[in-house]
Amino acid sequence: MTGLTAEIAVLVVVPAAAILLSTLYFLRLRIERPPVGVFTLRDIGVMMAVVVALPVLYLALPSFAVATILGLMVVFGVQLTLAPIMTGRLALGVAFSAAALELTFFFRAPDVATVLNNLLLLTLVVGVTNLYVQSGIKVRDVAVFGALLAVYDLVATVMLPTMSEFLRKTIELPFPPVFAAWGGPLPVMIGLGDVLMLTLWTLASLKGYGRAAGWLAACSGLVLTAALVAGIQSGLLTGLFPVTVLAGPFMAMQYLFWRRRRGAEQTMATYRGIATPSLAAVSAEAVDERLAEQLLSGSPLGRPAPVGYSG
Amino acid sequence: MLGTALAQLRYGFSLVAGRRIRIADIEHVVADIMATRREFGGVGDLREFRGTTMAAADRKPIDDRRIRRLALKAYAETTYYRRQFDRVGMRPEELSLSTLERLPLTPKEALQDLPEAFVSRRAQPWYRAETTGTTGPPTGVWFSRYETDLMTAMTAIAFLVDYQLRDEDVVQINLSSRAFLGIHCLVGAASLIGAAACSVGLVAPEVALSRLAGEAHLAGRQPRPTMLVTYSSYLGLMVEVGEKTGYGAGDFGLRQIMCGGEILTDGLRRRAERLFGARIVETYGMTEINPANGQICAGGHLHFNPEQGVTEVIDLTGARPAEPGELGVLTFTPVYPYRETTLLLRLLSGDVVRRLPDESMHCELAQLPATSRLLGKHRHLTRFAGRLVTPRDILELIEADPAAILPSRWALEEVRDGLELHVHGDDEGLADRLHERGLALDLPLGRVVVHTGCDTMPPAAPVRADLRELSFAESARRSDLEAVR
Repeated sequence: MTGLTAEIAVLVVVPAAAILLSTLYFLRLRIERPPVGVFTLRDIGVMMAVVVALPVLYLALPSFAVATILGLMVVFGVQLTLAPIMTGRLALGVAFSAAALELTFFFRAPDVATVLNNLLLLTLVVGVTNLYVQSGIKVRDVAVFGALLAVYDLVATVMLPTMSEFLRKTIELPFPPVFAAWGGPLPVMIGLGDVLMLTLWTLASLKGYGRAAGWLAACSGLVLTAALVAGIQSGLLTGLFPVTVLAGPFMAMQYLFWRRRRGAEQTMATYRGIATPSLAAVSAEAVDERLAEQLLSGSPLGRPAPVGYSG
Repeated sequence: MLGTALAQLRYGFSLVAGRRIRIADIEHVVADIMATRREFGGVGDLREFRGTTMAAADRKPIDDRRIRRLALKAYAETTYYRRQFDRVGMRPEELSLSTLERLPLTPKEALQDLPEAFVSRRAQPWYRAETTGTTGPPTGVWFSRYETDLMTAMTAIAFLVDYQLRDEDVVQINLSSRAFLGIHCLVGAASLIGAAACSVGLVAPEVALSRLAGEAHLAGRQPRPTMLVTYSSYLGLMVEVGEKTGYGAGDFGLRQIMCGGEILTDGLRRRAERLFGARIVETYGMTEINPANGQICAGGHLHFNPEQGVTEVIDLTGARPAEPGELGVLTFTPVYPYRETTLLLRLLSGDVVRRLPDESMHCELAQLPATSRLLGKHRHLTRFAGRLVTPRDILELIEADPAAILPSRWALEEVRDGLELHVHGDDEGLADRLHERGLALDLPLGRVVVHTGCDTMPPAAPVRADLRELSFAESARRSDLEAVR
């Protein structure tokens, strides 16, 4: 594989495949969610705290523990995705078997392990993004998350050595949280988090503001990653570059655009065309009209004022 | 999402550990159910909110711990139970599900005589709720602010889970204005959901019906009440007047009627459903056991949530637990953390039910222990020739007749060849029809006498609809009549 092919494969094809598969999954399958509860900005706060804490924790933990955590994360992510297609137990069995296979190849044929890891991470992205969106995450919440991540990535990747050290540590382990391909002496990689965010943004936009917003989200994400390929090819970009530093502000801008154009985002019930009962409740305008009619027809206004108050 | 999980976890932990429930946690769950509904158009399976799904054997250690804790508290902090435990020579720490029978039953009269003897010295009594006293002297029960807030929050959950109440709904409450605690909790629960409520009281049925049928234009609200909360007898009164006035289902915006406090018969249910075009949900509750209450399932069983307390069915002699299939009296032990002020152990309610065979339930609430529906008060049972006649037997018989005057007024008298049933009615063939159907139902009826006015009847048991609040005009008219007499 040449450098350019590897760059296109990792930076464009992987996000495109993740977006396509996740959207198809979203349109056809229902992921199990808790009976009560929706995503709120508070959840985004917690997720952000986890994002900040995890790399630091990984750096502090021994490699064996980090690999175990990453492996379990992959297993449960894959199980989550496959559960609606097969039974939960079978999905868990498949996920464990796939993880065991990757572990085996990691020691015997690392190239095959990389391909398998890409496939498992792709499966995980499909499930996790669907879990968020089918649990009611809002476009606003993803935009806020994207904006916060942009700031965090700028600090943790560009200004601090945290992310490069984290990457150096995990790339040597089984189940690295990156999509990778070899196209030269160094691998081309895109982080799991970046692909998750681009996919999540597309699904949330599709749910919140409809097909046009979904297309815009998907295309803008892919144009962005294609621009990165061009940047690498032209030599403008070298070393680590966090995708969300650019994608985050894009998400926030798109959210503001759609909010201004379409107003409040739609709920999952509206998206799925589930009629919410009632709504025979009267609007403020209708109430005003009806009360005015009653007043003019003489009921309270037509009454004579009590003696002594008639002026 | 994470906040919801945390609130539910804390709530569950409070129950298992026997700690005070954080009201904010239940309010959080209420808000989350609302948000989930807005987002998804509905919520998932909420069975767990209706009560435990644990098997009785698994629950036993938890129940034992909670009963022991309640006994220790009642012994240390109430005058009544300190004496009661000492009198029978039992230590409070010995009390458990298996030794509960050793503790004497608490008669309702003891609570009526001196409610303060049951109040924990460490509690902060806030409000003394008086029962309406329809079937006996009123009973005073002290509650703390915490208990009241808990009742409100739990009512809100019930509104959401069992009644699917929404923020545009309007709840009309036709309860006695003396039932302040109940009304306070209903109004508070509606407010937690964002719905509107109005307490109309037990006014003239014409007024209550016109409130239900009349439109009130408020932004974001349904123009007419969508839920009615009332007693069975007052519902009967509304049905009677509504049918005579010519109201029909199209005149109302009701979706559901929450009805309890008295026996609700199938006949009344049918007539009310036809008149109002609304679903009737029967409930069971008593001020003395609040916030515990009973839920009546589609299968006609009265279910109790063991998380809120221990429910026993004691045989009619009060000597032993009723056998499956046997009639018995409901006895309640409301437990901490649902109850902390008026502590009660084995309170004899006086309400008669039939104990169900243990394996007989396949309903939607089958995971909760259950009895038959309420059959009447113990002192209103009539025995003739070995056959026990319950108030429900008579009420079902009368109200199954479409010509019956509601609410039913009836009295039983023993005559030589059976029981003589006196009924208020104005239909010529009513006596014959009731007699014939009563015999078919194996009721020992010797004769049925129909009275066109209540004044010629032997004294009939009062009903809650009798707690009617008078208008100034009605009150003046009554005063005039009394002056003439």
